[in-house]
Order: sequence, then structure tokens, then C-alpha cells
Amino acid sequence: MSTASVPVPTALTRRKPPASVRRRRFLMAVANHSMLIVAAVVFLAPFGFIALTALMTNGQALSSHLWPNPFRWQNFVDVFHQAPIFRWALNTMIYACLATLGVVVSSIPVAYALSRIRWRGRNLAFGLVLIALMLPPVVSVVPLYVMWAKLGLVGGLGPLIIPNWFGDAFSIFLLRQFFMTIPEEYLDAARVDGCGELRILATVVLRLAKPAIAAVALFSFLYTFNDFFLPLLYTRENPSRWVLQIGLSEFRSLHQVQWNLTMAATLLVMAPVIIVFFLAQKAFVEGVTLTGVKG
Amino acid sequence: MASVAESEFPLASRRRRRFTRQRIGRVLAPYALLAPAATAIGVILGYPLYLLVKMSFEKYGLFELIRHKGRWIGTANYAHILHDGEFWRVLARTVVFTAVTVTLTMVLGTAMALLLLQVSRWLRVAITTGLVLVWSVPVIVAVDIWRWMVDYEFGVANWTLTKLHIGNFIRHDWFANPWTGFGVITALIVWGAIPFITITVYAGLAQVPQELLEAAAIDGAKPWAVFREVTLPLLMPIFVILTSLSIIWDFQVFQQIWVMLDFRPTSDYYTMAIYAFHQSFQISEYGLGAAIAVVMVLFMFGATLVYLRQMLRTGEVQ
Repeated sequence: MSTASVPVPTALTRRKPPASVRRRRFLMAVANHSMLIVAAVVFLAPFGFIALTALMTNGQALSSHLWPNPFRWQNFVDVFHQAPIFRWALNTMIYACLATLGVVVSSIPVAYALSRIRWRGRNLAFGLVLIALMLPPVVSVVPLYVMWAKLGLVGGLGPLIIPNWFGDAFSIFLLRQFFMTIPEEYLDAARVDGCGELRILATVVLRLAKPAIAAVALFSFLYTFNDFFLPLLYTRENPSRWVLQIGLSEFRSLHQVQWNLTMAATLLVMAPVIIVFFLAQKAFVEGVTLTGVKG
Repeated sequence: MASVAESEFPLASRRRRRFTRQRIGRVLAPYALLAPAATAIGVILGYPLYLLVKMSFEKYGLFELIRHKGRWIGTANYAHILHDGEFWRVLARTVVFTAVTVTLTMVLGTAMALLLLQVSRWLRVAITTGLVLVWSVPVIVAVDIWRWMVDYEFGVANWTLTKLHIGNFIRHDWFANPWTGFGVITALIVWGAIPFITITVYAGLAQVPQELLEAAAIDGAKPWAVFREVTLPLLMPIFVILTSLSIIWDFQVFQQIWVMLDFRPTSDYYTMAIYAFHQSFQISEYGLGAAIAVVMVLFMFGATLVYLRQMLRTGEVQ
């Protein structure tokens, strides 16, 4: 606490804090900074290892040396020659973008109905959403797999994308919490002006909920981009539909001893999501905060 | 709000028919909005759930899977689980693991958010960058990095610990002992979960009115007291959501353990989700697996009940 450096009321009457207080304040700042620098090192060290290994020669990657000598940028080019990265990236983009769009479009009305409209069974429905959030995906996937198999869609991206167009438990949950924070007076004002519920949703709620929607979209994009389990389950047998994560995992098992290439591929796969993240970070933080603080 | 009023009113008064149409619309609109909601909840959330619960009361093995039809056996699956010592060991392990992981994540994440408020801008930007980087790592990659770091032959961890003379860690296998093995897994999960907690709490902290903190400090409150009496109550809704989400996520942790132990963890490493997966797909007792999943959900509901009630009540107040 910056305010905590005023420990006793008497200190307030003085223009300049006494030397002891100033010294303590300085020591506190040093302690805070060093603690966070340690934390930063712990957090960033794994990336250091990835990045450095990605630039090593194959022989060096297997040795105990930590610094690449010489730097081998060729690794990144080699990855493109050895694996259909563009195809995987295209599949990932189709999956992530269409799924995210579906989540946003379908979850908004559901969240609205669960928060701003009173109807019998609303809490029960919200309870179902929470249960869906709690179900371990590895188990609940059995009945769904049987269903997709009957429809003949296993092997494509359909089973990955289509469910997202019917709402997603986590997004519904997040949006509902946000919609709850919109003051009822706004909605009443719109109702008095003759707006129907649909128009209220489209004009009032959507405008106010932009940060929350951005957060949900970002979460959904991040999740689908990094999704491994579902693509593995549904597209394993069909390499032309592999997404980046499956490709990366296969690449690792094919080039197991070539750590340098594997790490270069890892960095390439991570790049787009990091870029998206930095671009959307502000909207995202805003959305999450508003959802929580005023909930 | 004004723009809505201005654009709507003339439209509504222009024609009388519009009124009736609007009135009908107002009665039906909730149902129009509810239709996709009901479909979504019914088809995507409800139907699999129904199938799962039904399956948990059935003998559903490979034979039944081929026939697409289970055989009703009542509560036999549940009786089997509850009389199985393995189940209780797995449950206890999962509860302890969740408690430790959630506590560490929340405490460390919040501590980092509090520290972030204190330091200079450049360090804050550096830390936020690091957090975002960690956040965007796919689980598969994160697990591989950690596995590589604690590798018994080439791992950085063993090399560093030996060099620092903490002990002889040459060829030390962290996963030979489930306690140290779970230590590594916990570290990995906490490492991966902190960014979300820290960034969210930090964003919340930034919204706490500065005057309140100053007022408390002027009244002579110690930093810890300020946090407990002012910050914590204000951020309670955030902590409620973050804690319940963390409990839900950590209780059903699967991928990290599964990949970390080469897709074949020994029974010492079973958590509830792995146990359920094992019963379903490795022994092909889908009925048993479904029953375990149902018990898991009941358990999570119990663990988060206080939070859930608060969330529901949030809706009632307004």
C-alpha cells in the first residue's frame, strides 16, 4: 500500500516525512521491486528456454549449453518445409473464428434471458448452465461423440464448430454476470419509450456490454485456438483437417530428438494468439472487471 | 438513452397498427429470446446430461456400446463406486489437490496484483507482458516445457539444484514419488492460472477508490488491516467468481496430468477426471464412468454452493 507509509497520524502534520519513514519507504520499494523481478524471471524463464533452443543447432540443443552459438534462424524456415503449417493454420482459423462468432451470437440472447427477463424456471436453467460448466469434458463427450458419429460428421470440423452456435456455458455465465450489473432504470426507460425486449437487447444492452462481449470473444478465441482435446477426438484420422495444436503434437513426436525445430514450431504456433491477446487486452480486462466488481 | 427515446417515439405514434404489433411483440419477445436459450440449454447442455445420468444407472460396456443400448441396473454403479476403496482415495486426493492449488493460485495471484500497484511503470509493463505470454501458452506446450525442465536426465531443475549444493539431484526422477510429482503438477497449474487471477484482481484493485484507502490509513490502519477491511470487501464479488471458477477448473483437471505422465499415469496420479476417463475409455465401463462424473458434479456443486447462492441472489436484488 502506498498509503501505508503514513503509519501514525502525527506524520500527517509534517511537510516532509522523517528520515526513518523515508528510509523505510525506500526499502519497501526495493523489496517490492525485487520480489516482482523474481516473479518475472520465474514466469519468463520457460520462454527464454524455448526461444534460445529454437535458435540452436540440433547438436547444441542436446548439449547442456544454454546460449545458442551460432544463432540458427534457419530453423524457422525449416519448420515450414517440414510441415504443412499453412494448412493447419487455416483449419485453426476456420475453427477459432467460426466458433467464436457462434459463441458470441448465441450466448448473448441466452444470457439476456437468464438475467433480465423474469420467467418461471429461470434459476433452474441457470443451474443447468452451471452444471454444464462443472461437467468434466472428457466424460460428457461420450454421448456427444455417439451423436456426431450417427450424423456422419466425425472427421471434419463440424462437431467442433456447430455446438458453439448453441451457446457455451462459460460465456453464458460471464455475460449473465455482466448483464446483471446494468441498472434496471435504463431498461425501464427503454420500455417506457416503447421498446420491445429484442430492441432493448440490441440497442441498450449490447452497447453497454461491449467490454464483456469483447472478453467473451477473446476467451472463446483463446480457448478454441489452444484446444487440443476435441480436435484430437474428432479429426485425428483425417490429417487434412488437423489444427495447429494437433499438428504441433504430431510434429513433436515425429521430430522428437530435434528439440530446436520443435521449439521453433512452438513459437510459430504461439505467435498469432499472443498478437491477438495484446491487441485485445484492454477491452478484455475492462470486461472481466466490470463483470466482477459490480456483480 | 436519449437517442433511443427520440428515434422510437415518432415511429410508434405514426401509425396506430404499430402499437398493437408492438404490444404483441412485447408479449412474445421474451419467448423469442428464450427459444434459442431453451434450445441451447435443452439440446447442447441438457440432452448430454440426461444421457449421462441415464447411463450412470445402466450397465454400459463395449457390448452395449455396439448395440447403442444400455441395460438398466438401478443404483448398482453407484453402490460399486461407493464401496470401492480406490474411489475414496481418488476423491480425497482430488480434494486435497484442489484445495492446495486453488489456495496457492488465489494467494499468489492476489499478492502479485497488490505488488503490481506498488511498482514503477516499466516493471508493471514487463510483468503484464510476462503474464500475457504465460496465459497464451497452449496446455500441451506448457506441459512439455515443464516436463523438459524437470527431465531426470537433461532437466534444468536437477542441474540447478545440484550446482547450488542443495543435494545430489543428478538423475533424480521427480515422478517416482507421487508427492514430488504432484508438486511439479501443482506448480505447473498454478503457474498457468496466476495470469488470469492477477490481471483480473489488478483490474479490480485499480477501481477501488483511492480516498477510501487514504481515509483508512489516516485512521491509523496497518496495510494488512486496510486490505482486510477496505479492499477485500469491495473486491468480494471478484474473489467469489474467481474462487468458484478455480475450484471448478482445478477439480476436473485432466490434460496437464495426462500429458505430463505420457498418457498413462499410474493409479497414484489418478484424480477424479482421470479416474472417470479410465473407467470409461480404458476399461470400457461407460456406466461406471458416467456415475463417477455425476458424483463429481454433485461434489463441485456442494463445494461451491455458498458462492452459487450468492450469484443467484445477485439477480434477485435487482
